[in-house]
Amino acid sequence: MQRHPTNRDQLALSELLDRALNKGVVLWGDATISVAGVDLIYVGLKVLLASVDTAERLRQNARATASADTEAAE
Amino acid sequence: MTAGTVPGATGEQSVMYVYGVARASPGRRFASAGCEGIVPEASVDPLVQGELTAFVSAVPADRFGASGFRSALKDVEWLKDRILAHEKVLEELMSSDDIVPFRFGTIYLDSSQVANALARHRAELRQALERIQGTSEWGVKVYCAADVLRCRIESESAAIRRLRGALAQASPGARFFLQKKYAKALDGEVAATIAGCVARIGRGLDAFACESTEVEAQPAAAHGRSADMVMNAAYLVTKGSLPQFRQTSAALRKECAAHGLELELTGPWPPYHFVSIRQEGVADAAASDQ
Repeated sequence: MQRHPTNRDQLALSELLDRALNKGVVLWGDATISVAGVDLIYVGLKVLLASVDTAERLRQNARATASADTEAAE
Repeated sequence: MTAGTVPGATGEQSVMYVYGVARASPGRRFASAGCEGIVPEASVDPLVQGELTAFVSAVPADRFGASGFRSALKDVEWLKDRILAHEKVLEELMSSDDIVPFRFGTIYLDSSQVANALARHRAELRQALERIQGTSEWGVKVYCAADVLRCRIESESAAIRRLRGALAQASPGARFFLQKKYAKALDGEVAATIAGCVARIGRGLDAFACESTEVEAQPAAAHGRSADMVMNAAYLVTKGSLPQFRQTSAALRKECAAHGLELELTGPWPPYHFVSIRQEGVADAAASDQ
């Protein structure tokens, strides 16, 4: 598999933007109570951006912690 | 089954989340039956209607019902886990069966409504199942760091080097026009390199795919890279052709890398891009209650 092992959720989400949120069977019956009229791509993009933010924050925190450790050691 | 209630549910109102449709195989236990559904506490159950089986989960109406789902969509953390869960269920299902994936968020009031939908669309669903029989979907995205490619061409292209030589010796008057010519030639070579790679990839992979489709290139916000996405495509590949498809894509990946482009192959995906049943136009309860 060519999927990124480290970044799987992130990658999966951007792929799912093309797929689960944009394609796939849509059968709106009388009883379908789901997402007619909701722009799922837009919703998905928000999810993706939020998780990019989270990942970036975690990285920054890790970096901050690492440099704090280095400073403490010096 | 009574509308709105499901055996095994705790008596709270529930609705039916649908993942996808497979052929019915009466009496057979699906490997996926009982796996974790769209929410951890929901099981994935087969719902047989004639020769078709829908895979469904009974889920709480407060979160997945008409108004509940719309407000739930605003909770990005919750939603992220649901999108990934939808995919995970389909991936488990497709490991043992041909499955026609439904779009994320397809929810019916109760199981009799799901059965009705299957009966109404029996012919199209059977056709869709035939189309994807024994296949999986693969995604190909190609990225190009335009500035890197530009530098590479500036140093490697003989035509560009010649123009640069002329530019260096040009009189101030001629310089302006030569400068323009140089920029235009460079842009042209960058575009031609990208187009050449994309065409070679398309031809190479089409040879081992039963179908392919172009997908709109994603903006940087979606793919999160500094390089531009210059190609986005989906391929439907049979099990038999898969080894050759993957070998070809590995060879093309190397070839592209030599030109400064990165080819990324992902899969196997449920065949989302190759099931095109879309029947819309009925206002849903969620739309009308706002």
